[in-house]
Amino acid sequence: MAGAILPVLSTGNLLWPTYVHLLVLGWVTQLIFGVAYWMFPRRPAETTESADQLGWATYSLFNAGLLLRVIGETSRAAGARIEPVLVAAAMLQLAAGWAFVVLIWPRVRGR
Amino acid sequence: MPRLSVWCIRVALLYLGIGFTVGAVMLAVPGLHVSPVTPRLRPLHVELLLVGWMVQLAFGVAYWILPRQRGAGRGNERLAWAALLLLNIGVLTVGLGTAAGLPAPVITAGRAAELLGALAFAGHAWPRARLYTPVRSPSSGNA
Repeated sequence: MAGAILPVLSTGNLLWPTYVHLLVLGWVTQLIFGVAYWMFPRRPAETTESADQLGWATYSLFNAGLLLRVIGETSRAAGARIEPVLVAAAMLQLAAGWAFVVLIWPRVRGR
Repeated sequence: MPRLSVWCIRVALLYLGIGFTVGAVMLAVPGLHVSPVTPRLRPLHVELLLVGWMVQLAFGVAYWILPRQRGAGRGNERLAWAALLLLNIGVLTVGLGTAAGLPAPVITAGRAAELLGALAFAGHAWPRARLYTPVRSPSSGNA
């Protein structure tokens, strides 16, 4: 166990991006997503069901991507070769970002 | 939602999408073994997401929801529009300038535009950030 953990702890700089993204994406950005979904005025034509489906898809893609990123970057810091995991994390987070844009864009409108 | 907020938030959403795209390239490209491009993209990624997305979203939402001034509506709207313009000039200059390797004075000018944008927005929002005193209706019994 210690043999697996110690190499990771001794490579703190390699985990700096993981730390930053957990805070900026996992906390700040996700909080913004949640509050915007809650507070931005819905279109008259928008049904709760359709908005919820895209909202949950955004949430799932975002957190799956972040989780894979943590696994991938932690494994890389320990010396494992896990490039496909990081590519998958990148694609999931990219999809989540644009899904949120599509979800919120119609709600940003004048009176 | 007022027009300035619509502009701020929609441009912020575009920066979010583009910033996530740049970030995804940076994360995926080393895995695809084509890495020399990624270090130059980092300042662009940070600029788009921290200033272009988060700060601009805060500007748009604050302009929309801060209390209005009695008789003056949302206050000095020109300052708010100037803030929006300066912030975007700054984000694009700093973000694209660092990615393209432009000289330091260009990046400094971009930072100056961002600073002026922040000051302009502070000047706009300052009078609106105050204690909220609800107007009591005659039927509330506490005139």
